[in-house]
Amino acid sequence: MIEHPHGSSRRARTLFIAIALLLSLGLWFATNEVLRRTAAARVPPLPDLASAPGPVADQLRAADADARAHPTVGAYLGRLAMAYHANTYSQEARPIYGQARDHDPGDWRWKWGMILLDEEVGDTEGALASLREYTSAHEGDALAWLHRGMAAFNLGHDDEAAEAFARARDAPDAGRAPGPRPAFFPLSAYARLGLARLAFRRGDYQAAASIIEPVTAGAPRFGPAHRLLGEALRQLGRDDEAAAQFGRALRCGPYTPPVDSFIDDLALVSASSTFLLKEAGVAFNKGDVAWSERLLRRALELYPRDEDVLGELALLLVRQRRFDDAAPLLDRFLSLPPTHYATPSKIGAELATQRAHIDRAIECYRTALDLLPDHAANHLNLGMALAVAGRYDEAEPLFRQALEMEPHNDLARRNLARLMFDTKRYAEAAVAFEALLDARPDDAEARFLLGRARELLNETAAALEAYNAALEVDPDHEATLEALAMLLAQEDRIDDALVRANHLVAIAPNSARAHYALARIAVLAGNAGAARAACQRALELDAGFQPARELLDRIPD
Amino acid sequence: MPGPTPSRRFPVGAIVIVLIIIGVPAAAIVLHASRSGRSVGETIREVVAVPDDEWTMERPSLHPRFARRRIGLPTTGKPTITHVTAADLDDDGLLDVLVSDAGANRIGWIRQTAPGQFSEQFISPAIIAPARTQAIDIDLDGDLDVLIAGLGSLFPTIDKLGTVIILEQAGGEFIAHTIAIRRPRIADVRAGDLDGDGDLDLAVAAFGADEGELFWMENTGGWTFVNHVLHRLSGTIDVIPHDLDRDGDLDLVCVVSQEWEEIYAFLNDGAGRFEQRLLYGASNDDYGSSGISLADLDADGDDDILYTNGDAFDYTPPRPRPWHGIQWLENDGALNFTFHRLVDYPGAYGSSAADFDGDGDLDIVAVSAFNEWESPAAQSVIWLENLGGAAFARHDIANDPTHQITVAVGDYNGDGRPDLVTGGIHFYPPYDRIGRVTLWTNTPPGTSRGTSP
Repeated sequence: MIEHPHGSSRRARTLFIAIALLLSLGLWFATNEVLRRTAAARVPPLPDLASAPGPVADQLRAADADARAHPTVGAYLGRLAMAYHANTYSQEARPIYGQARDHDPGDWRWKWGMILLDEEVGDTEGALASLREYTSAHEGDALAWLHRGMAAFNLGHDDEAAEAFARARDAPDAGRAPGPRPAFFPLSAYARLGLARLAFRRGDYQAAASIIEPVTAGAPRFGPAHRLLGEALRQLGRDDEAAAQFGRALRCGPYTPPVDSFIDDLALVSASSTFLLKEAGVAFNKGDVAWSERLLRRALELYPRDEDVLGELALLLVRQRRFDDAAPLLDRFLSLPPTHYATPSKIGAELATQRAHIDRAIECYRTALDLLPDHAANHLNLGMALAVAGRYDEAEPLFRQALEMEPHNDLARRNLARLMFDTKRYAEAAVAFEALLDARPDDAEARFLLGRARELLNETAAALEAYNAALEVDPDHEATLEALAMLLAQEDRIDDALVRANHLVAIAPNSARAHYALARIAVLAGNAGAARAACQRALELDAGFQPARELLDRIPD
Repeated sequence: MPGPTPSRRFPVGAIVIVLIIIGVPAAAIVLHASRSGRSVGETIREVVAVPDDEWTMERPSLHPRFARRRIGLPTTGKPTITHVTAADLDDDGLLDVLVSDAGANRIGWIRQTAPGQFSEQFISPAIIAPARTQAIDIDLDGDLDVLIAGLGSLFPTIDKLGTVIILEQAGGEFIAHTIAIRRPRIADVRAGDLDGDGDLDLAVAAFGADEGELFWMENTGGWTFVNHVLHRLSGTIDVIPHDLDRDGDLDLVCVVSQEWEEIYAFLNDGAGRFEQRLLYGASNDDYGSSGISLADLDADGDDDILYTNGDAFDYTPPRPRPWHGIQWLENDGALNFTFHRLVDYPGAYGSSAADFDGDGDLDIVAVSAFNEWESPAAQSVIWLENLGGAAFARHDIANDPTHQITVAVGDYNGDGRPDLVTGGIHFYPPYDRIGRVTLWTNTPPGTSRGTSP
């Protein structure tokens, strides 16, 4: 039988096409697989994660696997780089940021991550070179201009720094998509600080002051501005104003860097307790308690038995006076038990300010002392808490131990003297206060207490001398004015007593106690009308002030 | 009409197959290259690249070894040593150690009473949290006195507790002179004739906390000094009197940490008037600067700056950061400094330069006070071998003891090879490898490593 030539030809053609298609598909997939593996081989191998915490290792392995499965996709590479960066594997992060940037040059984050890593390691020149490139491509990124200004400043390129700071100052907003939280201080504040530092550096203190003064008004909690203004004012010879600015700077707390949405994103990615604790600390110092708490709670989810995480979160809640929220965490923390004294000590310090929580403060301070008995402050802190609780017998040896360890510790000396006074050992207290005043002659409170001790020892002349000395140091020391007024009245020096009492009322017009003191003097002076008026004023200020009510009842009509 | 003959179909089919074999992969490569932002050539080279075989040959070790020995008072509790200084305090030809002991709040003198024999005694009154010391003949009477920087508190405080104390050596005794009190915490004091009048003045680094200052104290005779403030930045750690610009007078080089992280020079006009110049600044305000020293690392005749960043004192927990390490700032001779990162080193502190391997160039030693001590790989003492051409190779020395915060270099056994002495600050865990003061004797390669508790 002869087969039709067209039929066999068709079959052959069909077979050939099928083979060609299969070959094409096979080659296509094979080539892509080779390319993928080659690209995946460019991704650096995972570091040794044997000693890495479990959450960190898990996260890095997962991100690494995703990146190797998509080695030419910038988003996956970037995610891996951020995972390394957020878990403090900076060396591993850098080249992968570079690869992410190669594959996804339009995403600003990869270049920015590399810049941050250069800055971290101290390569200011490298960072500046990258920042020049970056700001050319992202002219609206105010934070980048700020970083460029700081880098240029650090390398002495003042003109470039000035221009960059000016760009950062004048930008209408950050120039980036908003991050997970708003900026605490405007970028313009940091930019003005940079410009003021430039002026200061070239000796133009007036210009520095002019530049920074608006910042102190607009961002009053921005401590570095107050400090620089204080320095400028001091150079200009305006010492009193300078001192005021330094005081404000101290109250603002430590310097905190500008909010960077990229770093915030890193924090949300991070599985590293070290990174999360660091960022939480920075946020808390800045006053951003919500962000700090958010990061600490994330850390706690990952590390529920970590001493530092538990301690820092408990400390935050205690500082916020959220004692009920803090209590279970504090229980867990103290039951671990902790191995480092610092956090129990800090928690104790916060609790000790609240009389209702003094027992808990004692527990924390005792833990701190057990952990580091060689530290005089630990003895002192526990002693102070015990004294507040009225446990003087336990407190006294702690004060003495602190003094033995640090003979010049004035705080220990003061507390010991105060304890003696509170336990009615007035003669010992007087000696202790005099020793304290040898080292700190300008301590008005100590002089007042010395006076009280002398008075209670019936050493009137010495008491008067001490009270007057206290007023020389602080003319408005209320407790001294009151005590001196009463003592003068008892010595039948009514006119002198009235001077002190009137002064007391003048400086503390809203103090019921001050008016009550005046009333008592007025009674001794035989001025019933004035006494009655003063008592009534005291009761207006404080209706429950019983001594004033009792005195009023005794004043004849 | 008949179709193509088989002889014709074959070449067409073969051509098609060849086109497929070539074209499909080519198309894939082109598409891949376009997606990845790389050139086609780069992509092809990457695929076909054969990794180099690195031939390595085990070289016999030519590196020195450091034999460890604990010296001084027995280690009890958790020692808190802030500084050690190598000095022959009694001028008997045997190098001793001055120890700033912030646990005992005193200065210890570990005296080498005979070669290899050490005995420690305290030579100062109580000084709260003593920091750096310097042995120098401040009163020019032929014997070494001791300058002491007093922090007043080991931990940050805004209180002005800083002191400067001089122990005047007189007839084998030490008489304490309090030169400065009620300053921000003082971390460093060093002597030099800053006003060119023939006596020794003092340069003082007041670290403080939120407030600090750098000032020099003009020696007016009779243990009296007049203060001259140079800057009021917090965080000054080290201040080094040195003729940096080589004009014959002593300038000052200092490092300022806290949020500044800067290195300054104060150039002297010869009469004690200084011009401030910023030499370097890190953009990382959490850099953790921990100290500087001066050395001509590239042997080009000018002084470079060796610089560590490893401070973690304020952290909770006191753990290192990934950017901690050692770097040097290369001086071009005109006081322009180029940053060179040498090595990452968690908790890096206290670097010094000396020729440890005896090959004629300067190597570097450094210690770590804050490291991941749970890992046996975390080293407390390392040295960097100078390979020439600004290249250095790291060599580990020890992970026991941990928490070493200070190192001094000196030839303790008189063999011409620089040895080390380190001090430990053990105020946070772990406490399983405690070392108060440790002597590391530099032994030649091939010598057995000696150990001693």
